[in-house]
Amino acid sequence: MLAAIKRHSAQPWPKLTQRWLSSPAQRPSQAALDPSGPPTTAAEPQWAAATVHGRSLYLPYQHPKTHNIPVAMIHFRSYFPHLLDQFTHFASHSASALAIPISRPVALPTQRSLWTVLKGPFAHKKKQENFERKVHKRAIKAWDADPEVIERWVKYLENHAMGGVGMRVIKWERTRVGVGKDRLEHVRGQTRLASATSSDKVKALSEKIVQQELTSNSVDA
Amino acid sequence: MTKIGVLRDIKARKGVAANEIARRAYLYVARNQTLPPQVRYQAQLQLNTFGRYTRPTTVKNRCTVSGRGRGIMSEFGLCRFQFRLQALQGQIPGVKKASW
Repeated sequence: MLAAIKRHSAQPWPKLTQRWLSSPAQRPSQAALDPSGPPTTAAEPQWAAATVHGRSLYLPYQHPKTHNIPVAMIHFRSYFPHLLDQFTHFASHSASALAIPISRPVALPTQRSLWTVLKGPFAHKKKQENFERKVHKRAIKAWDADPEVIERWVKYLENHAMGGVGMRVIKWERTRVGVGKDRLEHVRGQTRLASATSSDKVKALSEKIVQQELTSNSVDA
Repeated sequence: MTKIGVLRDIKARKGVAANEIARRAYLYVARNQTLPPQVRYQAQLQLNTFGRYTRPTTVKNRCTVSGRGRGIMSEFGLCRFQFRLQALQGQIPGVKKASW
């Protein structure tokens, strides 16, 4: 059964910027792991050179926007915020690896649903219990990248999707003038003429009924 | 043995699904202001001949576990007591005891 994930210790979930590798062999070298982190204002090669191993322990490199044109937005939703933190960390690092200028993961307002139910199966109105469900949301916005690059990033995230985290992708593409008309022509040519929609069926049936009634009326009269 | 209310509700849902197009057609004719009144009246009489298991108003949400007709939460398809039992066991995703 999928129970709510519980923390077994009183410690909060470890922050992704802190060290959590246990043995000395696993830890990155002292020079690489500077407590202040790799330089944020320098170019990407300098940032990459500053940490060879343990790069994911820090925030990803923020590629500067070239044209400031929004291209995509990904919404993440989950019942558990620590899962969201993990997946948005993964998403932002993968976008940085593809050189997509992205925003930091922005926290959108949490949705809270509350249900108050009677504790027993019959009567006892004064004994009730509250249940809630919180939906935590994050959003990452992407600018300036090619639609193909965005598509690859999205496919990569879908391939390595995390259980318990939902993703909604909104893409904005630029295309030539007149593409809507061409699409409409293409779709019109492809509709199957044999099968009608249910509203058409209703109209056709009602026409038949009207004809039947009119002929029966004229026969009676 | 399942509850009789559950069986009636299943019958109603099947009947409504099967007769929806016919009912809508007759309703369209009966409510159409542009048609002659005799035709509209005949359509209304035809509508009255449909049985109760074809009317959408007879469809009622019931608990999928216990078959209870009252206290149903549509989001889960459960009555309030079954919802509480399953929520306390952790079987409803994301739902936990509220405390604030």
